[in-house]
Amino acid sequence: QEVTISGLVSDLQGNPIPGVNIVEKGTLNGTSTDFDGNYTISAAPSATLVFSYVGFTSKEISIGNQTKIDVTLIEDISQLDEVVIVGYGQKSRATLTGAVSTTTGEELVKSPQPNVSNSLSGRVSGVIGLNRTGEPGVDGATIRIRGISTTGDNNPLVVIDGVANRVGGLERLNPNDIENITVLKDASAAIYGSQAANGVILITTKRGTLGKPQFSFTHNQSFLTPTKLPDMADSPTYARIINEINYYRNPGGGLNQVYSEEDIRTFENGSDPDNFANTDWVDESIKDFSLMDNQNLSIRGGGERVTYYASLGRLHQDGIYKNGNNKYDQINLRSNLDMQATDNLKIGLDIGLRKEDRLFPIQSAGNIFRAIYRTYPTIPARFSNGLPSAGVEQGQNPIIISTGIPGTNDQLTTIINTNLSVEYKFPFLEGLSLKGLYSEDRSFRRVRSFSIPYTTYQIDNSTSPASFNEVVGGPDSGTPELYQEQEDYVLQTANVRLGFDRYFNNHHLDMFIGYEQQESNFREFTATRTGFLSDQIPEFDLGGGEPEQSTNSGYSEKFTRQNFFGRISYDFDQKYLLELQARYDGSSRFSEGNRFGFFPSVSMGWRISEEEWFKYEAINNLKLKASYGLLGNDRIDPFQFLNTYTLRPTDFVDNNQTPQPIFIINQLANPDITWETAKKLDVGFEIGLFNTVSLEFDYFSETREDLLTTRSGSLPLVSGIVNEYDLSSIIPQENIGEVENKGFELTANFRKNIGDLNLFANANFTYNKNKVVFLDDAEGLPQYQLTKGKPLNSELLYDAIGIFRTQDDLDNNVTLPGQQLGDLIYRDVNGDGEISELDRVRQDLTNVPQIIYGFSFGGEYKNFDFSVLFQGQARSVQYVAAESGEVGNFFSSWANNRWSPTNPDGTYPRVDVRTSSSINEGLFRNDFWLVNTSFLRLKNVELGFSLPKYMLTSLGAESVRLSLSGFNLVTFTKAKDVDPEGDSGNGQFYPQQKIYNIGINVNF
Amino acid sequence: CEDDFLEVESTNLTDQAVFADPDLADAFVRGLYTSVRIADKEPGHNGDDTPAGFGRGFHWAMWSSVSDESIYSNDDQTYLVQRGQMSPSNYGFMSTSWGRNYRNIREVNIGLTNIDTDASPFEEDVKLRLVGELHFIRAFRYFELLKGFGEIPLMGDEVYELNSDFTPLYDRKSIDEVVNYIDDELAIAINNLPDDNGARATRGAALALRSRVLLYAASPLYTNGNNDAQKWQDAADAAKAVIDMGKYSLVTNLDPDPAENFRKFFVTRTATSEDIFTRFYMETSSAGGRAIPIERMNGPNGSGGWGGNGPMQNFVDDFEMANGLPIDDPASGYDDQAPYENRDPRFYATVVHNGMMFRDRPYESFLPGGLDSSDGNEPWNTSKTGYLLRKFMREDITLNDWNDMGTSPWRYFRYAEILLNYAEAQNEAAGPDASVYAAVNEVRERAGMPLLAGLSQDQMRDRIRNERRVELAFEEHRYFDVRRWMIADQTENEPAEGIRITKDSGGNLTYEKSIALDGRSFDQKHYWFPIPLSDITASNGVLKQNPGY
Repeated sequence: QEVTISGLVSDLQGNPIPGVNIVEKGTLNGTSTDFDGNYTISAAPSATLVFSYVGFTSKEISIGNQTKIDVTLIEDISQLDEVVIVGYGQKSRATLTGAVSTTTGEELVKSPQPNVSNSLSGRVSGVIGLNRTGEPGVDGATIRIRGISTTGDNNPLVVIDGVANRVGGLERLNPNDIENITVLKDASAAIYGSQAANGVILITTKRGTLGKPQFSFTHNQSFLTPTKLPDMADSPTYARIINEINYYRNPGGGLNQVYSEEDIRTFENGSDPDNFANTDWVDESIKDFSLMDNQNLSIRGGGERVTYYASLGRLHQDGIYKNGNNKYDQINLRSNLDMQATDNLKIGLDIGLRKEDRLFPIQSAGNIFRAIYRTYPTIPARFSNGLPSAGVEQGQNPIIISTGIPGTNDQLTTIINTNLSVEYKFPFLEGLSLKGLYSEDRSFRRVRSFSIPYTTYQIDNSTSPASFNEVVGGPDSGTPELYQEQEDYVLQTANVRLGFDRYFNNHHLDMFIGYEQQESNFREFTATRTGFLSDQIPEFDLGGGEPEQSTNSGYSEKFTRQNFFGRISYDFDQKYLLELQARYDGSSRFSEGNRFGFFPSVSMGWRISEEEWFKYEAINNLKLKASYGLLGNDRIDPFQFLNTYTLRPTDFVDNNQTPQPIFIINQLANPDITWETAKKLDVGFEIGLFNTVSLEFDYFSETREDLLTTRSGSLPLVSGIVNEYDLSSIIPQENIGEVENKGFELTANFRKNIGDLNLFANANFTYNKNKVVFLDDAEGLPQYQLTKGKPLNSELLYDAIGIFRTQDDLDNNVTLPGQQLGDLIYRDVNGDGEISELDRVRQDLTNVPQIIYGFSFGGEYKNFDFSVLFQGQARSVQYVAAESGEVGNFFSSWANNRWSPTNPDGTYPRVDVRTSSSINEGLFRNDFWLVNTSFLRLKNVELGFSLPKYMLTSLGAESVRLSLSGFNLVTFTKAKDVDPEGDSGNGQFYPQQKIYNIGINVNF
Repeated sequence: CEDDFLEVESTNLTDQAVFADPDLADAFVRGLYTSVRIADKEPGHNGDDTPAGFGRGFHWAMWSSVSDESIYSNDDQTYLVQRGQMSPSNYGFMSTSWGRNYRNIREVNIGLTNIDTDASPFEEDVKLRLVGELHFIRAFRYFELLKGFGEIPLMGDEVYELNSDFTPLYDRKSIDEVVNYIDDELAIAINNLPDDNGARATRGAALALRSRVLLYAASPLYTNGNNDAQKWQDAADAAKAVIDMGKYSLVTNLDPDPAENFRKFFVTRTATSEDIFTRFYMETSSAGGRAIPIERMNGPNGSGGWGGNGPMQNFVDDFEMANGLPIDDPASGYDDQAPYENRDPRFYATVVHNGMMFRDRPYESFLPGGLDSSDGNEPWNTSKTGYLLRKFMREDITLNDWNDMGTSPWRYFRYAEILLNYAEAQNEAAGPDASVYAAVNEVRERAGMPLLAGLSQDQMRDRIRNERRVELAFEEHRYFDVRRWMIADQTENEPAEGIRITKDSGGNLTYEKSIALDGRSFDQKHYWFPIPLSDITASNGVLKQNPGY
């Protein structure tokens, strides 16, 4: 016989808490509080009610003879009751058995970053986020979970609101829309089977909550500046360098063969800026600050039947070029609706729409930065009469090519994410439910690139006064050219899951089986038209009419997946935990017999602290856990099981000069091609102390077997199976590689409230060593060149052991023909008396760091709050050698420290005509040019001030918070010239951004 | 669920489709006249230029720039060849010859396996022609390997697959065996091929290739220095067979001035009476079908060119005076302070020198201040030698319009070479008889040079060798000629020279030879390329390296 109980749930301050879950213990009978914190539930007097809410300690109350139960919930510092999203479901943190990291949208919003992928670094253990470039619109981080394991695609699987590979990805999600992020790092990801080997990132967007509508408005104004730009040599220095290059060419001619001392003085005193300029091209081309701003408005609320979350956001980001033609604009809209259609049927409908508008200069950022770092300081940006100079190479003047003068490249992407989800609880059997989802995502991308001839000038002193000759840059055809591209992508996902979740006294059983299929279709069409009479209107019908003035091409690709999967979770009184998962996964990328793979996993946990005999007050939580499983990776080019041919329409020309098509072999078949398999083991423990500190430690190891890679060492060229450079390779991938990752992670959290002061501190540390077990090294290679035992993608480099400073050095070391004083000394590793390819050594480090760490702290005091995040990496290197010499200017690190006849103690080798064909670099790539890219960064600082209550009433707002924040504020590193996160071998990339931000957030 | 949900069609053609359709198979065979890009700075399908054919052709650093014909302005690994630093891991752009040719041969084998069968769906005459072409291509590819590496593995008709046993491929066959194999291949080609076949192989092309192959096979390097008169006679007969076709003749009708006639011939974009086997390019296109922009590549830096394959002084000095005397003959009238006066007309059609009108203005390589010197625009693009290449270059286009450039055909075989092949072989076999004079003088007469007369066999040999040097310059002969004659240890140990021209305040020019590239060097081992290190290691040392490396 049941009674009706009602009451109010509030926090310590007496504020009612809406949305608190109230469940009759051991049953699924439950309800939640309304927006005033009130609830009503029917239950037997013998029952116990469990009150739970995210961030608060749960409370259990026996009903007895009460009919009104008011409850005060206390904020939970250990967060053990936090609900964590896992693959196809959720669990309480207490019963987790896998290696799972989480963060929240609230946390990510603290980084004033236009790209969510850059906000993960330092916040989540085991996640490496490498921001390789800061260019607006393409500034996403390369994300690696616990390092890299394959020569192929190392990207983790991204699942957004239950849909894998979601169109649009995570980068451009509005962080204000994100509820939380979970990263599955171990075998717990096995539920995603063949796509899970690189780890899985699960993202949940915000949904409606019970209560009156809550409006929230945010405005941010940011100021962006590069984290690091290289110092370049000035004109007097560069002039001396050119003199030295000519001296090395012709030592008899002395050290002033090109520029006299008088000339160099003229560079210094600036008396002849047209002929003896001293230009700082970085300064000429790049603004001190560029601007970014964003606004976000959201509404969240709900009643008995319907809850809703809706938001509208806007972002504008400017590029860093002066008068540049570079920006990113975004508009995003989201509506997440949940409807309780009947008592047993719940329907969710989510719609996300995003418009990403990218505007670029006609040349790539790499080209523009190439021009900035190459162009001689001795060339003026503009002549004194205002005409722009030609720079180097036919008008590559950075102050022109970064603007709209040579044309624009406009890329507009529209992304639509939709899904409909259904949950039905069968009335005839308690705990049995059916869940299903259908999602249709689309994206449309169009590129319109209009390239216009432009004019720069060269001074000609043969006339008096000097005249200026035109140098025309731009399209090869000398006419405006229009290129357009249209891409169309559709992703359809459907799944259905039959679940059973029920308590039998202290036994809790939660299981499901499911089926899912996914189909993606991609289509692309491109066209070019040249011969435009005018650069006024970029439309195809205004282009030239000759047949050769138009070209076009198209491409399409279809890909399907089909899977069966399931999970059984069992716990006994939240003390003994067991989870079994499996996925049977099929992919159209493989041939019929190799299509399906089976990926099981098992994990277990033991919460020692829940044992009766465990009586240590100080330790409020102690859990041991372990997991093991098989996971797959199918991210390879499709159809490698077929011999295929490609048509090349114009590669053969007949004697009447008409093109005739040919076929070339595109791909040799490997009929046996199948999955890569990762075997992942994770063993760890969690410990909570004094309800204020929690520690988590995980040891992990992964062996990636059947790694898909192309054979290299054992396949001779004489077989005729030879790859084409830079294009599709005919050698198919084979499941022959094996790579190992081993390491550990440590996470520590601290939280304490002292009166009005709430403090927190978090730290995480990940060490991961990556080792090749097998990658087809040729049999005849010496030990120190093998890939075996070294990290993936580690380079073979000569070992530079110094600089030839004396004739003795030249006499006592092995030299290459033509080596002279000032050159690098290479170690004769195999001792055969000459320097050859066999003296190259496989490196121990790569540009994927072995150590990553982050630590943060912060707190709240009355109306103020603050937080600080440091992030770093160690044990990583990057090869950086600028394109210098007669072809381009020098980073001042080299220019100022170069060996020269007058600076015999220089720490850098002598200068040469061009680095890329120098004996000291390009011809003998060597470890002198490896930069230690370890760094520690002040990643994030935020200071907030919330207006006091008395001011709010007059404003009509519930809360108003003002904030100051910064991103990438300070970096400590040995990398001198460019930002240590870059991965460009010559430093020519758009730099990462430092961001200062002022924000306001109003809730009403 | 649908059973065929995972059945997705490839959007590429598969081999079953290609060889079931005669048109597609024809396109496959046509494709074997080209080759894919194997390394950076090689011709390839990248939208701007077309893939390699046989040899290297016009691309970036031409073959001339690893010989004593020219120095390449931008190195691109040519200097290590010039300086004798070739190693099994790197010997410049020739490093890819091994893989490129074996890839092509394997694909020829795929073609033969699928076409030369009773099951193939082709008309008999089509099949005959395609089979003839495939054997021609295979012969040409093996010849490329032979002249580079000497002893080489023969693949036979097998199509090696990923999991094949490669051991038979590690066995290098003797030069005689390889030559015989090539000759047998050519016998099939000569038998099957038609006289006219568009830009594809003809009977004449097969006969011309046979002439070149047998000439090489008779040369000292290929016979270990044993002079084998029969081999020379076979070579002479092979050349004679082309001459006797009566189909080909030297082009003389383009201009009354022999220099202009010679220059115009190489920019003629259509097939002429002199052409035996030629690679054509499209006249203008933004979508491939062209050579690389040779005009810009080799043009003057003062006009935005890149001063590419700059002819060496060593080469310039080997042009005779117009009176037929070499410049070191005191009677020649040569003046080293007026070095460009009264030279072989072909000099003016092949080399751009200071003061010459080129691209509608005088070329200025003098210092100081010359527009095309290192005082000019983009100094790193200055010619290393002070000279520019004129042969093959159109002058009627701006250097900005890449779509117009690189249209001159690459002539694999032209009649002048056959005449010189004949003269050389016949002179070795029988001495300088009337037919030798007739052949070499036919070439000289067209060039506007005095005819040869009254020479001994040795004198004739020297004159024929020099005739090849100037007539066939930049056409990928010189590098191999000096090797097969075994004179490279002299010619390639000479310093690589250019010209330094100084202009004084009065406008007077002083000419001084200067080193264009230091450290030039040649060793005995450089008569052959090294075998690529990667294959030595892949075979675990079973495949033997060439001596000296």
